[in-house]
Amino acid sequence: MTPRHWEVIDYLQKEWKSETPLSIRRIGKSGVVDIKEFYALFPEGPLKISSKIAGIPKPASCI
Amino acid sequence: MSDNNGQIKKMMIILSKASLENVYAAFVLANGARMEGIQAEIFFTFFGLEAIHKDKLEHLHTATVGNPAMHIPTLIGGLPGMEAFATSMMKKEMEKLDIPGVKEFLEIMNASGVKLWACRLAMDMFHYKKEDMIDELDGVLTVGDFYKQGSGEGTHMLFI
Repeated sequence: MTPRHWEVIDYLQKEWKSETPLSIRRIGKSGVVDIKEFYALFPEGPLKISSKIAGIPKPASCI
Repeated sequence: MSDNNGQIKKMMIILSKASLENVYAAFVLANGARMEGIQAEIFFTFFGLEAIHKDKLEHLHTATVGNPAMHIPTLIGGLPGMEAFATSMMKKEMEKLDIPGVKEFLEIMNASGVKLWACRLAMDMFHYKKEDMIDELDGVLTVGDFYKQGSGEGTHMLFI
C-alpha cells in the first residue's frame, strides 16, 4: 500500500459516507483516480479489493 | 495433473452480432470479469465488427423483428421507426442505470485492460481497414491467433 492507495481509499470512504453509489465509471470520472490507475493499484479487482480495505460494503454493481 | 481448481482466469468472448443487446452482453461480461480480477478479451467478428467501427458504433440498434420477448407483433415491429423507438427506449433505461454508451464503454474496457481484437477474415469480407476501427483496438487477428491468446489454464470461451 502506497500513499496513492490510501488517497483512493479515503475518497471511497467519503463517497460511501455521503451515500453516493460507487461504480468503476463514476470513480473514473471523479478526478481522484482514472480507471487505468485504479486497476493498476488494485489489479485483483479494483472495486472489490479497495472497498474491502476501505471497510465499506462491496458495491453491488455489474458495471 | 492440473492444479487449477476450476477458477476462471480468463474470459475469451467472441462477439458476432451487433444488435445492442448482444453488444452490451459481451461488454458487461468482459468488464465484469476485469472487475473481479479475471482477464478478458473480446474478438469482434462478422457483424460484431460494427461495435468497433468508428462510423457505426454510435448507431447500433436493438432488433424489434424476430424477437418474441419484445411482446409486439412481428408486423408492427417491422414498421418504419419501430427499431429506432425501441432503441431509444432501451438507451434511456440504460442511462438511468448508469450504463455507459458504446464508445465510452469501449474506452472503459480499454482502460480496464480488456483486449479488443478484430477478426481478420471478417475485416477482409466487409472491406474494413484498421483505420476504420476505433483507436483502442489492440489488433487484427486470425482465429489461430485468438486461440493462442486464450491458451493457459482457467480460460473460458464464450460465443455471442
